[in-house]
Amino acid sequence: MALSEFCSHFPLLCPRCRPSKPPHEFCGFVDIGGVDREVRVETPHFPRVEGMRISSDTCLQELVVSHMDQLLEAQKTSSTALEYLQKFQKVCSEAVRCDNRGREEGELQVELNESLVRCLLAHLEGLGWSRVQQVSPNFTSFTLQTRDAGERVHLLRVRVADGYPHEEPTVEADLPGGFEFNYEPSEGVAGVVRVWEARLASLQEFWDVMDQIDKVALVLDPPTPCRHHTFRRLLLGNQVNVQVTLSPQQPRHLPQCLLFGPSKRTRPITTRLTHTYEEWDAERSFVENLEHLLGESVVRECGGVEGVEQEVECPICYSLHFQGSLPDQPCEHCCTPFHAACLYDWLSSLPAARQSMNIITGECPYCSKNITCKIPV
Amino acid sequence: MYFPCSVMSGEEEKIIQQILEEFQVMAQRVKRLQKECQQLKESPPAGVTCWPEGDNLELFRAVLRGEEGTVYSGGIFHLEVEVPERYPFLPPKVRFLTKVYHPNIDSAGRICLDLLKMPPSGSWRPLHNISSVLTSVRLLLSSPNPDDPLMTDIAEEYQFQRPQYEATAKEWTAKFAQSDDPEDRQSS
Repeated sequence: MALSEFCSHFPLLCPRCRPSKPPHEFCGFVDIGGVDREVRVETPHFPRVEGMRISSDTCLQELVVSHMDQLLEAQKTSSTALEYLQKFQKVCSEAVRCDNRGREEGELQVELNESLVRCLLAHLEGLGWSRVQQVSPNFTSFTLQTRDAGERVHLLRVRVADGYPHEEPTVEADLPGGFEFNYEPSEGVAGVVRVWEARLASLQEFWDVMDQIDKVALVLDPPTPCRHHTFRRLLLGNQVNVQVTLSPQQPRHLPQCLLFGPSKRTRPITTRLTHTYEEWDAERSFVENLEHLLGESVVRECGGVEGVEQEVECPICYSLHFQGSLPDQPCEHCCTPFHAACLYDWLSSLPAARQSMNIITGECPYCSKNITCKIPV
Repeated sequence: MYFPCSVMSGEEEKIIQQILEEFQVMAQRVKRLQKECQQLKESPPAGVTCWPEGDNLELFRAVLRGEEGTVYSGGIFHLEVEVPERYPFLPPKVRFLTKVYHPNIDSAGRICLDLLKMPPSGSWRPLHNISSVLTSVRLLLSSPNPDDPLMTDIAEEYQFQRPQYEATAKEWTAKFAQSDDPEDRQSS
C-alpha cells in the first residue's frame, strides 16, 4: 500500500529493486515548479524516511543549497519517504520560484569549471565535431558517435570529473565483453576513442554475421538485440528453439548451440548434432549451416514475433518475455511451453500438487498429464 | 550531493516484499487482460459480446444472446464478469444480471459451472479465459446440467415435467431478457 501510494503521488518515479526486496532506489522525475526534474531517491528502509537520500542534477542542487535549513527541518518532521519527498518538492518549487525572480533581475549565474571546459573543447575539436553527438549543459558528460565499415552507428558515452584529463573518465560502450583500455592522461579522450574504433574495426565480421542472422531469421530473444549481445534465440518450429552463442573473435566458426523444448523433440536433434558438427562450413551462411547441422529449418523473419505469438508465447500470461525469461518449461506430453514462474504459480495454487526439494509436480494445465517444474529462484 | 535525512530504526521489510510481489503479479495480469480485451473486440465468440467496465480491467460486462431453437432464443442476457487479483490463477466470477429460469442459475444470478471453480472440485485452468468462460456459460444456458443443480425445483421440473419447464423458461425470456438495460429486471 505504501508503494502504490508513493507511486500515485510521484508517477514519474520508477522503483528499482532486487527480486523480492523493497525498493532501495527510485529513479525518474519530480515536478518542481511545473518542470519535471530528474532525481534519484535512495530509500534503504522504504517506506520509512531513515537513511533516505535524494540526489539531483547540479542546477537543482545549486538552487536548493541555500534552503538546506528548510530541508533539515522537513526531514526531522517527516516519518515516511513520501512525506519527506513531498516537502522536498515544496521547498524546491519555492526555491525555483525565487530564482526565477532573481533571473528576471539579471542575476543569472552559470558556474562552469573553466579549465575543464577549455581542455575538453580542445580535445573534442581534435576529434572532430562530427563525432560529437551530444554534450550535457554542464560539460561533464558527452556522447560520441562513429560509423563503422558496415555503416553501423556506434555510441560512446563519456563522463569526466573535475580532474580531467589527469583523472580517467568513465566510459560506456555497447561492445561484447565490455570495453577495456589503458588510459593515457596526455592523450585524454582521443586515446580512448582510438582504442574504441580499433575494437569496432575488429568486430566487423562478428556484427556482419549477427546482422545477417537478424535479417534472415526470426529472433525470439534478446527482445531488442544490442551490439554487445553474442547470442540469439531462434525458432525451429514444433515448439523447439535453439540458442546460438557466437564467439566475437571467430563468428564464422561453429557456435555454441543450446536446444530448448520438450526432450522427446530436442533429443534427436542433439544426437544428430554430435555427428554433424564437423560439417560446419565457414563458407556457407550462418543460417544455412545451422539448418544443415540440426536437420531442421529455422523460422524466417516475417515482420516480428507478432506473427508466431500464438505458437511461442506462454498460455498462462499470454506473453513471450516474462521477468527476463522465455517459456522454457515444456510439458513432456503435450509439448506446450510455459514460463517456469507461471507454471509454478499455477501448480502451487493446486492442492493436488506435490512439492519435494525444489521440484513441484502437478497436472499440466493443458493436457492434465504429469508435469514437473523447478521452483524459480 | 545528497540532501540529508534523519536515521531511525525499525523493520517493515516483509510487508514491502509482499507489496512488490503483488506489483509483479499485477503487471502480468494487466498484460494478459489487455490481450484478452483485444481478442474479445476483434474476434468475439458466437453470441457473446463482452467489454471492460471502466479502465481498471477488474470488471467486465457481457451480453449473451440465447441460442436459436432453444427456450432462451431471442433473449438478451446481461452478465457481470469480475476478474480477481490473482487471475488467471483464480477463475473469474461470472454472474447473470438478467433473471433466468434455469436449473444451474439461481435467483441471484449465480452460475453452477465446474469451469468457474478451482480444482479439485472445479476445472478452472489458467489456459481458459473470459472468452472461453462466456462460451461455456452460453452452452450451459442451452443445455442445462440437471445432475449438478443449483435450483433443485427447476432441475426436477426439467427432468420430469419438461413442457412446464420450457413454458416458464420461454415466459421468463420474453419477460426479463428483452431489455438493453439489465436493471429493468428489478422493476418486475
